[in-house]
Amino acid sequence: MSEVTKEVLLEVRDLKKYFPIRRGLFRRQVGEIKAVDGVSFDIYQGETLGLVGESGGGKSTTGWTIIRDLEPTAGSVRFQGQDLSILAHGEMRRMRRHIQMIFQDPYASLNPRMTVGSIVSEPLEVHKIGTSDQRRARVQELLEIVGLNPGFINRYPHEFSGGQRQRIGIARALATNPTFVVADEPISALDVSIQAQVVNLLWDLKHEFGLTYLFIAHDLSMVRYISDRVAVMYLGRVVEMGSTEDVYRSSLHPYTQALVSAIPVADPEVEMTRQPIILEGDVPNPANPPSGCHFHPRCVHATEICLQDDPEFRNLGQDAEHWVACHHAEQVQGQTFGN
Amino acid sequence: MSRTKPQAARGGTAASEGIEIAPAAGDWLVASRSPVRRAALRFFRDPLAVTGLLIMALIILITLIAPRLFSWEEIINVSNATKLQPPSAAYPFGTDNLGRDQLGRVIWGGRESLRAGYLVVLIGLGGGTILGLISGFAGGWVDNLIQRCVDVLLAIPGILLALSVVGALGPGLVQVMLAVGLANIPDYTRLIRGSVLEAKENEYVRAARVLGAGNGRIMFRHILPNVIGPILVYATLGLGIAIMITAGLSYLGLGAQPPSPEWGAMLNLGREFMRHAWWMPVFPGLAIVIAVLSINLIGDGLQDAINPKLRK
Repeated sequence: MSEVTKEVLLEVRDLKKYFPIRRGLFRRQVGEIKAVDGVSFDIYQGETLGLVGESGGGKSTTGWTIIRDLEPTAGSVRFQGQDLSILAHGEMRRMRRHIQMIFQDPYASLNPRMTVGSIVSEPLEVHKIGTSDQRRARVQELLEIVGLNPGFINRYPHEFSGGQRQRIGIARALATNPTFVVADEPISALDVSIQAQVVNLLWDLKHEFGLTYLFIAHDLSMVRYISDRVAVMYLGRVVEMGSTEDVYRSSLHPYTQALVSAIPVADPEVEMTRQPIILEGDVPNPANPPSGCHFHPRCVHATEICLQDDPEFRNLGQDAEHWVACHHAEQVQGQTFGN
Repeated sequence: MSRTKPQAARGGTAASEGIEIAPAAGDWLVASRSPVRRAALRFFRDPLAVTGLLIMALIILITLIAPRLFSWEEIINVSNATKLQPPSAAYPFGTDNLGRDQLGRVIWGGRESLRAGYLVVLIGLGGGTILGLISGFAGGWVDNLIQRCVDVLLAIPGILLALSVVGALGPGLVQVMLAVGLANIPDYTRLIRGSVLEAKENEYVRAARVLGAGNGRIMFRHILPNVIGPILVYATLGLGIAIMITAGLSYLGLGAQPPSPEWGAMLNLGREFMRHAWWMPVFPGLAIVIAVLSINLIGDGLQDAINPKLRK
């Protein structure tokens, strides 16, 4: 999409987040869950990067670690050239006005004891922006922007529907005029009819305010609709990343192919003949991931090398970058399903 | 603010856009019912709770205007002529062994007993809230330290703890209040810590942290308002217990000292004359029962109002 420049806004390098597993009387560490295991990507100014994958794949953990709600185990996150992972707490807090988040659950993410007005103006208060009159005006403006009646300012969250609550959450995220917004499954808790509204709202807001999104989701059709580029995660690693068209139309990784083939098509004739690739088995235990390529136990293309060597994350794109971590990407490529 | 309408091509959702947007314009700036106001409405619909509240209000009113009804001199004035008189028109509650008007003493005693009860709860609630919030929110060694101190205090029975404080500081109502208040802190700390542990996992706490809120703000604006409801119920019920315990310690002679009237102390005095003058223990005893009962009614009402789902 046109407004994307090639200026890097956020640079994630080899980001890792391991959760220790502790057992026994002395809480000895007996292992670790590698929720995010060496993730690298760039997000360009003005683009939307979709982050997709199965539940438990580390998508949300990646989001939380980027905004440092979780401390990264290793790696760096550079935002406008500044490494967030080494900022002192106070500095990080000041930085937060530029980086905001939209949450998955619109019921749990709004404090039931606060009015809509105080919820939306909280970021302004925290960052000491404006006088109380200005903040009030700004809140009303924000409510209007997200499509709510500004008169709702004195109401409480319980009086709203899921979609309306999510709009309140979006208004809160926009209050400080952030540059970068992490949307952590912002639509997966909503009814399908409302999902489209919220996605459209996010899309409008992005263009109106020049936002950059990291859009975390497992609904591939929604991600396709809103994202400029897509990164696919499996077991804590990015396995494929490229422009939305490339990833969806000419997937290079067998896992992506399986995901894409599972998207229903809104055309009964195509849908009749559509043959989804059914993955065998479950996502392996991230505390004890398979050797070599993490995906090999479920992969139809797996050979000896996949059991032994970690596939390199390489760029196979011609015009645009298209990264993939698969030993057999070249062979896999031809077998993409056309939808 | 002009909003760009989504183009029709984008998924064909334009038609459904706006369904959710706001009822009529007449709703502008209507202040709505907050959770607190809804709880208050439920509370006032509960006849028992309202009765309790009315009785308590009456008791507080009477104790407040006590000095206008009886002077201090009147109630400590010893007179041989009026000693041990049964209830009559002149002395509705009778007189005690020193000829003092029991009605006046019960009313003045209410001042002492209620004040003691409130202070005890205030000390316990205040100390417990702060310690519990810090303990639950900070976690780690801070939590451990506070909880081990609480363990130590909990291991000693409250009445023993109170006795030892009184033993160290000497008898007197203020000492008793302090002692019982301190003995109350562990209960409140535990209770609040538990609720805080639960509340801090809420997504809105994460949201506040992510938008840049500091710990103080998160503790006092996000966590405390969401845990304080059940704690206030407990505190209300605790008020009744506090009144009984201070009265109990006074009954043991550790609290209010003569000639100061206090329900527990009066009960203790009356005990010796029970066989000849039943009115001496009965009226202060009744006062305690009525006060504690009304407080419990209020507490139960609050409980139902705050948490209507728990209702039988």
